Amino acid sequence: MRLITSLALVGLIAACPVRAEVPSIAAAERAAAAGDYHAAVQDYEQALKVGGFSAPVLFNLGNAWLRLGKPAPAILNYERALVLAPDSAPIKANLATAQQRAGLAPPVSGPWLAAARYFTFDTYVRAGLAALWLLCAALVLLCLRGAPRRFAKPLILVAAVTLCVSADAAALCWTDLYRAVVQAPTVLQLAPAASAAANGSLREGEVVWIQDRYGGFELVRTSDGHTGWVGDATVVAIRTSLP
Amino acid sequence: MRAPQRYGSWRVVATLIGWLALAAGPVDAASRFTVTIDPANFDLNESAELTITATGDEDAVPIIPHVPGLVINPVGQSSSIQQINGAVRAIFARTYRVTATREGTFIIPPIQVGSTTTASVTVHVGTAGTAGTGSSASPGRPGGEAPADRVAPADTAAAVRAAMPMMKVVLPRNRLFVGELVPVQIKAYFREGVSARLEGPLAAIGDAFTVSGLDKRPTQTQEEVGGLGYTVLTWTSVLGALKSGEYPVGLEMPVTLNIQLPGTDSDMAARLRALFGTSARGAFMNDSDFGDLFGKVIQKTVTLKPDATPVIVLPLPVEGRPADFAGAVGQFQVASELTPNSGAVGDPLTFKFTVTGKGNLSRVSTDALRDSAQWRVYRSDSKMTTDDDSGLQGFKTFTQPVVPLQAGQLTLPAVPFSYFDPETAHYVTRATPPIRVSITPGTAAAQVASTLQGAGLPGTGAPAPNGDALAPDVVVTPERSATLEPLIWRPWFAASVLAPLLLMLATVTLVRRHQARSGDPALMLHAARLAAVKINIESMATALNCGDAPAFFTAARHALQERLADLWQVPAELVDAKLVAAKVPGADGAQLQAIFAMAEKATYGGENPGAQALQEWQRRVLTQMDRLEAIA
Repeated sequence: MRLITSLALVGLIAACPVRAEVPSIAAAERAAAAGDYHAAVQDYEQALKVGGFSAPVLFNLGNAWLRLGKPAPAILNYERALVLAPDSAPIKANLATAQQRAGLAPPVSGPWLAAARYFTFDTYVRAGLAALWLLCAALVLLCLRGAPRRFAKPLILVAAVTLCVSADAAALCWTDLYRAVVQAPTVLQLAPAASAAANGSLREGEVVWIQDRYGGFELVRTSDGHTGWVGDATVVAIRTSLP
Repeated sequence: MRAPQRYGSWRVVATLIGWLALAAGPVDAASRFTVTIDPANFDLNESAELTITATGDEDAVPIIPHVPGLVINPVGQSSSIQQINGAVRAIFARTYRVTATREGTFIIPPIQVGSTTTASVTVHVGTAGTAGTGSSASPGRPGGEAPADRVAPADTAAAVRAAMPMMKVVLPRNRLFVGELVPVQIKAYFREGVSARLEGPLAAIGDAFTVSGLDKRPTQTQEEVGGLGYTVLTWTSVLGALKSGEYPVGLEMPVTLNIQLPGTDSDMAARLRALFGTSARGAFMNDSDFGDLFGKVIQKTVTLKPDATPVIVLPLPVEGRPADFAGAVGQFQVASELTPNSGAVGDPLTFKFTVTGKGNLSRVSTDALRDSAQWRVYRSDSKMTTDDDSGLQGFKTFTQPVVPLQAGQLTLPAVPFSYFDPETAHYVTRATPPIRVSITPGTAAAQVASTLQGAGLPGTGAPAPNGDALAPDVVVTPERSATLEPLIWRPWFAASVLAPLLLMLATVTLVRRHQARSGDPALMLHAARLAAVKINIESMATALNCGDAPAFFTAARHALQERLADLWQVPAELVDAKLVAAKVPGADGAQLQAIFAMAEKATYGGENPGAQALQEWQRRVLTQMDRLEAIA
């Protein structure tokens, strides 16, 4: 009986929602409601470290940063939230606000890239993977006799088209994996050295694409095609494994 | 009588040969070995030629000793016949290439050639122009006297030094700033009379400077420096300082020089000696004018570099640096233009911002305009146009689409541009004048406002949920994602891609194997015969139930025929009692023969053994069928 009770307790604890596991979320919400955004930022960041990434937490953290007058970390957190909830209108609206407060023009992309971004990169990867499995199943059906064989050819056609479209779209969105947000105004340098000459400048909150890393420096490409080296503390990648 | 005459004629012939041989002079039967090295003094990046000469009738392969620091490799061998004053001699010469791995004085110990040993040889190896004046062969060596026409090493070093080219970098000043571009002249000086060949392009090395325009053809002039005539190649290009510090301008160019040495070529003299006589003091070589015709020329490949005088590169000062400074260094002017200079709300206009001047135009960048309540500003494109090939002077135009959001007299704000002037060592900020433009209400106005309101942007009349134009915080739900890593970077992704591929591969393999098996005629015949056996056994059972003896035995015989035919790989109709007798000896054979005989009797003789006996026959047939694989 004791054993059963213990197991039941363990099960209950494991089934408890994340809010109960991470008390800092409640504290963060209280702090944000009270207008103490410094505390809210600390608590939300603590919650992310403990519980992993979450679109609502990232969104609220972005709001807290923006209310503190820090658009760059706000943009970073909104961008991360959009990765998890790509269709969220509030996130998009607040991201646009943060970009405007940072003095950044809204990003402009070509028609093909815009079309490819209708779904996220991960969606295309999932679709491609499903198409691959479907293709495999269709080939197995093709080897059978009788009625199942008739479904094989349409399935192969559907799977092949899906695979091609997914692969093309994923290739177009590939660079999105290396997006990063500039956290402080900085100068692009010609070489990965502190004494290297300037090659341009980056604005706070600007989205750049990381192309290479070397000795504490990141080679980044800006949206207008300029490249240069910046210190790795200045830019933070959007797609990352850990908070 | 004839035999003595023949012997007598042989004696005459032998006597004549002996006289002829004596008349031809004594053959030098004793062999002498000499060893020479040329030159005995050479530099690390040069080589010398070691020659072992055997004079006489004996030749043997020399045993070259190992000398630490020297590498001695065979090059070739030659032989010749000499006849001097009636004396005939054979000369065998073996040549070796001697190179050194370090500086120093080396002694090549006596070399054993057959039963003889040569004298030792001393070699001096130095750096360029510093090889000593040491001797070539040890005193007392056989035939070791130095050739009189050899060029003295000191003369060689002096000739090489005198012929060396030089490179100079001419800069407007010796102190630059990081990011500054200055015109530079690179001059390579070659002594007149020294033939030189460029082995590669002039190239910049190091990471402190960039030098552009080195791929262009240099100009060639004649100059006199220190009373000596030089041919000067000049490259005109642009030098850019990349990082602060003191660095020499890193340039290099490989050049091969043909340097004429004073004196005569000892190799040529040796060939002349071999041709005209043994003595170097022969009639021809004693003639100094004639000897000068064969003045020695050596080829030397050098890497031409400028002198290592450092250029001081100063960092850009932090004090007074404008906030919008983006790395432009030089002297610039700015101008702006808006086209068209009027429009309607929502109509795109083009703002052009031009930076003109001298400096690092390629690194000039500007944010130009930014979004405001009156203007929506889009990303700018830039285009650079230089006045010359060097890229030092020209202009850069930034083109930026702007959309007016309000009607009325609007003003495009002044656009500042900051740069560092290296001449005055100060930052300069220039700004374009504000541009006033008249905007009329347009059809696009409502659409723009509606779009912006939908996005909840401030300044457009959109509702402000928290009073700060932000969408409000949301309630945090339990859904979590532990990572923002893309799927393709996660470990399971590779497995999930590989799994269907492996499954597909396995399926294809199985299908192909199945197809291969189904198309095999032997397998198909085997399957057909097994099916026939099964059918006949079922027919036996049916006939047994009906008491039909002929049908029973006919089926039994066919079952046995099909099975045995399958085992023996023969047509079924050929299997009969005779074949069974031949192939199956003993009791099993007798049993099978009995079944065949009974089948004959029942089928053709109408014999019916009765129901009980048929059951016994069925048992016997089935038993034999089971044993067939073992007995047949």
